[in-house]
Amino acid sequence: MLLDILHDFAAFFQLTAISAVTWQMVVMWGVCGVLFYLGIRRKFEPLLLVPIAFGALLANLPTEGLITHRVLADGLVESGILTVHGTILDTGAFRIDHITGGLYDFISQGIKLEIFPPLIFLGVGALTDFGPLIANPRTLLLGAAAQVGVLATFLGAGLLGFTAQQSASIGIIGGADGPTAIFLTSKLAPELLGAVAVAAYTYMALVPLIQPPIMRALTTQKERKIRMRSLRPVSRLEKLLFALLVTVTVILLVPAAAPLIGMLMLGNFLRECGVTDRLLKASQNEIINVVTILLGTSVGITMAGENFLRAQTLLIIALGMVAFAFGTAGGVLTAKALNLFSPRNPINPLIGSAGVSAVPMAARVSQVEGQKADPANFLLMHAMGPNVAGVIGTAVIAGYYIATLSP
Amino acid sequence: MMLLAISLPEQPTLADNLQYQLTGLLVVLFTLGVLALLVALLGRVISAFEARRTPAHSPVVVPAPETIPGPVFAAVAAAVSTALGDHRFVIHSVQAVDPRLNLAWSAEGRRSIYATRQVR
Repeated sequence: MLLDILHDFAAFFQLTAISAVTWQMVVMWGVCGVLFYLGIRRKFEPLLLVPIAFGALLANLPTEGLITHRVLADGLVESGILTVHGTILDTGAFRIDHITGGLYDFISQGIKLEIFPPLIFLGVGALTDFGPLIANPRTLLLGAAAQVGVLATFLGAGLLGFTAQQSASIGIIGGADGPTAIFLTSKLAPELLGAVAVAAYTYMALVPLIQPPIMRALTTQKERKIRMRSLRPVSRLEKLLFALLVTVTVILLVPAAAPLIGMLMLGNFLRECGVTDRLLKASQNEIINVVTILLGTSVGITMAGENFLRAQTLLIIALGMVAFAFGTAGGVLTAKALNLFSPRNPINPLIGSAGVSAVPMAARVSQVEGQKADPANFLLMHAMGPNVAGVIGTAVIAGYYIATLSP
Repeated sequence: MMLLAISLPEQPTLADNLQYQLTGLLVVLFTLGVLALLVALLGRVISAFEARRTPAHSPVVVPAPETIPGPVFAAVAAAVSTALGDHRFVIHSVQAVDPRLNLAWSAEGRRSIYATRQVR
């Protein structure tokens, strides 16, 4: 009797998934632990890092019905394979009979079909006040100049042997814009999605540590004390027309940026028009929150150990730091250059660093650094101009890469 | 459509990459530069339009300043004084401040709101 029970228990044990655990999975549990620590304890972009870490944990467990792994010829493990079964009809049309796949095979279609990042942009637009940018349009140039980090990192990644598509995906980390980084990477180099997303969100949280030394090194005490003119009030009509102007201009010049810019400005238009309260609240809360959960876990689910534990992941994380540093420097130096042309209405160069996006963290860093030099100087609203301009700039450079590098 | 003409060779050299990146920088600067010009122009047009419309259509209506009642000032001042444990100060008079000075409060409020947004 006892032997039978033990025998049955041993038989049951063979049905468990314990024997399917690999060493890569165990190492990735440690990586997930670090991400949980950064997100929960250190509050590094927790809204994204926590779902990403949980998705990564799921990807590194021998799950059933959640994801469908497929080992590719080069040893890469691709997670999320939809298999469509159907019949080709006489007319040449294809009739879908049924589709097989795990839960995240379906959910992660939101990334593969490039749906989630633009939906996040809808919420971002609904949350963003472009008033400071409209009041001081010069700061758009700071948002453009901060893209130097993206471009410089592309060059560095190319020298290290990454393909052009991979280099663009790594470089975009310097844009400090998570949805744009995910959007571009899923389009050009989906195999790097997990590493790029983790690097982007981690560095965005580390902006208060990365930027200040660079800002201080590139400015004098006198420059840091510059007080900028108060921003003029911006009317609602102006904000509405701004949203339309950006939509039309950017899409005409860089059509590949249309999904991001279109949704960003749709969200902002809902915010400023004043007659769509329900839609605005949905964009600011329900939509962005639901999509953030699905986006985060879908990114995490790509971090299977076999795919993530590679030397190139460390290279990507190192290059991400380079991207942020160059972007910060580009913004600060451009602000100084602009002052040569308008000495009577100078820009405090500290707000140039906010051009790397990372809304609103980078703007707050400008404020804090400015107050260290002059406690009575308030740079926050001035810094919001280049900060939101950086969002547009990153979307434009992403559009440039997509238009020129898409297979 | 202009961008479709730009391409990078299969095995780009450093010079190819550099040229490609500089073109990208030019694209971003041009796009955002055009936007900056258009936004500046828009601001001027709207300002001129509103300045011309205001006297023509209706008399200037000065909105009543949003004043904080004097007793509230007194209560806040007393609370601050008590909280600081400093009883050297005596309130002699209460005056409403210029509403324009409230900008600092709005700025602080916005700062607090932005500080809670960490979505992206």
